[in-house]
Amino acid sequence: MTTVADVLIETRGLHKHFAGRKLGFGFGGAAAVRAVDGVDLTIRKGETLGLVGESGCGKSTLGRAILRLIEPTAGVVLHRGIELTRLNRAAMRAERRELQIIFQDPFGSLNPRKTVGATIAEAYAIHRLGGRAERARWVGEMLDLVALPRDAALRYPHEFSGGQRQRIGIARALALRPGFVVCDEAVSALDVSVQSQIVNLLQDLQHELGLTYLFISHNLAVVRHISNRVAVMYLGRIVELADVGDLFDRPAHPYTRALLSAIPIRHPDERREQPILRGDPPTPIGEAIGCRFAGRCPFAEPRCHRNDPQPTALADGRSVACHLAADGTLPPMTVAP
Amino acid sequence: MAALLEVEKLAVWLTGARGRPAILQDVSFNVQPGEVLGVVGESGSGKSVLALSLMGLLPGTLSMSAGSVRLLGHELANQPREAWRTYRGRDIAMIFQEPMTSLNPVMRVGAQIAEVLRWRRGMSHAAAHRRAIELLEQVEISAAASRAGTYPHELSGGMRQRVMIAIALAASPKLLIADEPTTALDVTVQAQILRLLTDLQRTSGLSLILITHDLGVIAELAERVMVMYAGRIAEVAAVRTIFDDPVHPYTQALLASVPDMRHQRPRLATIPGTVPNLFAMPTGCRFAPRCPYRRDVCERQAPAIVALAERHDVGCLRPFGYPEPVSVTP
Repeated sequence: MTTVADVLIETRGLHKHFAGRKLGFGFGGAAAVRAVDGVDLTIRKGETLGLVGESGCGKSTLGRAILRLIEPTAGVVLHRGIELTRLNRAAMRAERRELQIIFQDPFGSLNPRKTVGATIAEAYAIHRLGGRAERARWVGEMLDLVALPRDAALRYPHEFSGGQRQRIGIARALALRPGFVVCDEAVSALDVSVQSQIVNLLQDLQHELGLTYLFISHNLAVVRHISNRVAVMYLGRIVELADVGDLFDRPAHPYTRALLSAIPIRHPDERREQPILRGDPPTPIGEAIGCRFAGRCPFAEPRCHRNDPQPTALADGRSVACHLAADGTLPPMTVAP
Repeated sequence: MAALLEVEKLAVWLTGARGRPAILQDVSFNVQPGEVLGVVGESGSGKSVLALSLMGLLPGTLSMSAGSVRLLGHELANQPREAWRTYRGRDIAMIFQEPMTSLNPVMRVGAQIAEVLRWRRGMSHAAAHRRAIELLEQVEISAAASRAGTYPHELSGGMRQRVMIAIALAASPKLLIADEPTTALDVTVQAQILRLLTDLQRTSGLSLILITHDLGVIAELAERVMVMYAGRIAEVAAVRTIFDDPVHPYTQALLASVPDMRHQRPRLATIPGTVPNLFAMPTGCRFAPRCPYRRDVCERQAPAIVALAERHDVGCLRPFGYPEPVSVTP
């Protein structure tokens, strides 16, 4: 069982709504896009929590709202019991030493006019840490940590390959020795052979430095490899949260099943599991009544369209937001003929 | 059966750069009628440049030469660019990764399909419009008649890719080249598009060159696979051979570095180093600097692509016992 001491990050009723976009020429409604729509989540110290879902499900927004890189519309974020959502600018800045993020595009997120050394050292300048010599030494240590040569400090981002740039992004994120790191599609832009180098590096750093990760990715194979627990997000809600093996081997929510069944097979002799989901993920505009997945769910019943399912703990400890999964009436999975 | 497409000794290089660095080198392969050939490789492997050269769409900064590029028996190598135009869109069509950049943003999607039909099939306005709606139905777009009147930005990513496929199929090509057709799509939409491509390929009997970095997509669709590395062919074989008995060290390493959903390992296999820079290509085997089986002879000369077994070609000296080069070809 989780004790209070184990919890590093907690969100309660977290919401992030974006003002409705007008369609132009004064037409179109202004209903809010509910990117994050009531998320209760706990992240335990030292774990990797995978966060998966299709584009537009709100997973990146959730990651950023936890760090207050974007301001939540409503709800609470706690870090080691401190309510981040109530801190003023100065207090939040101090707290942010502990909270960092690694982005997807290692080129777009590095300043092309700054040397790698200056990019990493920027964090020390912002937090007024160390003198010139000390900062240079720390930069060298960070480069060692991510297995880049020390002379990289004097070079510019364009001189590096995609994998090396992601190492720079990691060094920058870890410069202040944070405890919690959001990895937002951190390996998604990389080739598979380089991707595995970075995944291994992230795991090594986690063990070495005792890091806690929120690992956001649409790459389910990587999520399975790196995560201890996995949360599945659909239209701003967490629909299932379980230990990694339980989630991938015995998905409980119909959406999780559909998502996993869509993963390309691993070998030409493999068969796909049913069903292939029809249609595209809708946009979370306006307030929804009932289950957000009901419209695409092959098992939807009248109650699913009427009542919003709340996260329910099952016997194996997982949490599922589905009426049928909760009362055990969901039909078992089938394999395609 | 005669091959639909036969490519011999295709090379593409960057013009105007010192040393004329080769983006593609010594690429020879064929595509049989009704076959799905998967082309797999990472960034810098030259797989997209290969697609553009087959379409006659190389940008002016790139030049190509080839021993032969025969499409349906017609020799296209060393022909002026106009020669490709006869075949492009009619016998050979292409879909791209990002449909939004290939579709005309200010033209209704139905009209974009009809344009091909009028130009390529000489159809009347009305007939082309009717056929465009049929094609939209064929790519499983619901309410096709009303969707024909929409603009690309009104459609989802998956829907746009379906429109691209409809445009590509409009002239009933014999060969469809799909360059990362599902890479920009969510996994659930990717599954829909892959199923659609499989169905269309089976019912119409067209040949498909499927270019991707994703071995899962290869496993789903390809019958034969060509693995490319740094502008050269590493290995060509039937899809099961590639997955079960790969011979080239790069193919082996590539397969090993994909995280396995079924068998969890504590660490992922990696390929040390990075793809060589175009301006600093190794003179011998281009994979040699990263290869665990490298010997001195590998660094002397690029290995020729040699048949190891029937329908299994490999560009590596190791399975042949590291023979010394017999003659030096210019």
